[in-house]
Amino acid sequence: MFGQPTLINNVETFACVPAILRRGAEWFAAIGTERSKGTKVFALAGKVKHTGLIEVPMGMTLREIVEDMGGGVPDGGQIKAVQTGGPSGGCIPAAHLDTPVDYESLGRLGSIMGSGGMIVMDQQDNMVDVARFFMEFCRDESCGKCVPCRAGTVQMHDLLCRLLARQATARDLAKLEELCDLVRNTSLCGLGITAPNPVLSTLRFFRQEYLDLLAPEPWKPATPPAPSPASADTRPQPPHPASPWLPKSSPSTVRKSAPPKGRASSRPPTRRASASPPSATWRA
Amino acid sequence: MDVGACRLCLVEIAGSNKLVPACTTQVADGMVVATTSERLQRYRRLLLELLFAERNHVCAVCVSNGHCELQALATNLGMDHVSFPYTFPKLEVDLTHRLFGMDHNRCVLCGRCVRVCWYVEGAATKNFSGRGAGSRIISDLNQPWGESRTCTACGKCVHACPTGALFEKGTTVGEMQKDRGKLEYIVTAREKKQWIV
Repeated sequence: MFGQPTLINNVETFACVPAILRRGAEWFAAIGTERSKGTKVFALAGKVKHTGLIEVPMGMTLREIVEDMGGGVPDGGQIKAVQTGGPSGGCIPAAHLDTPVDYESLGRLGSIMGSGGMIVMDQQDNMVDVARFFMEFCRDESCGKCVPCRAGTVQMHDLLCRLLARQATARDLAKLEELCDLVRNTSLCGLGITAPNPVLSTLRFFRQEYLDLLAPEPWKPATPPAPSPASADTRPQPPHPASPWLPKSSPSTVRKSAPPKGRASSRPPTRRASASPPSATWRA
Repeated sequence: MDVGACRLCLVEIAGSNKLVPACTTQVADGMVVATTSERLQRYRRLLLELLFAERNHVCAVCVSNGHCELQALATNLGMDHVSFPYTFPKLEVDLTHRLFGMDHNRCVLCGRCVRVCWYVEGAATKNFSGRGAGSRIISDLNQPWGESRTCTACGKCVHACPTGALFEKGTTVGEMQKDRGKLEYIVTAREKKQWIV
């Protein structure tokens, strides 16, 4: 700053300084692992008995932190995942609970130490909803300077909302992944670069939860090998579920007067739904 | 005056994983730069699609139709459709200024008007308000442009604007031709004492 070397420290760093001055750098460096030294403060929250701020030596395993210090999930629930690093961190599944908490190990699992948040999730938590929650945060915190972060987080959040409403197709999921890649690689600052992390890490370990929420694609039969013509699942959807050309009232009326059974995969109803509203919009 | 915010000029530099904006990156000896790789062009198209989906860009009724930098970029990159759902925000048109208009529907938030107003004209009328998708270009303390006490009505912002967001009143579809050359003339004359016409 002002042409001079500048060290920016946060409160946590400052809090470490008196202890290091008093007891020496060797003492501090002896705590922790080879690459990550000292202690780290976490805000333990979520589905654990004892929530609050904890200070642990680097390299302690997640299981020790969550089960011993946190006391595990109340009411005998099962840990599903631990989210670390704050909103732009990642979710670590229960299978990796024995990972030591240090910068390198968390990085390998697609998560970060970040702001020291640690949220425990149990079987009742839906990981897509978790990703949506954190994406909402990133969207709201975007400053709006660069395009990928400002507009990309909006689109990612919308896609996650549509997934949760069971209106997104496999194509939308592919679009979501494409957006993650775009926003991560083209954003101006760290907020945008890490904004896709909640989606990427839940996709990495809990992809099935995304797939379970997918709506059938109207142009494809529900079960590719043996198309069942009269299944309720093959009810045609508008080509683009949240198509802006569809006036708010129109899709429900179109859907309610759903085509008779047996014509489930025929095109005319869908075509009409997408073809007529534009003219209505122009007239209005 | 370049800020590297739109990310459309990102380039690949050999030996680095990070994409850097060409507008704010200094050229160095022996630097190997790729400007139009398949990946970069794909990113650019997606970024443009995001811009088009973000606000209400309707070329057919725009004063800058045919003279628009956003439109030209889309044409050059072969962006023939927008794969994201349009967000259709409800935005205002500020026609309170006696000479110029501001249509937020066509704004891409590049900030050129803000920078030219601060650093070339020195009036400091234009600025950003809000953040994220709620960012807007404002005049003074978010007053109607016509009530601004600082605006000198020089029109530099209008000619810096890449789209039809800022326009001269009285122009109709396709009539608003921007002349950035005038701005460059002023800047080179001031900074380099060169009067290049």
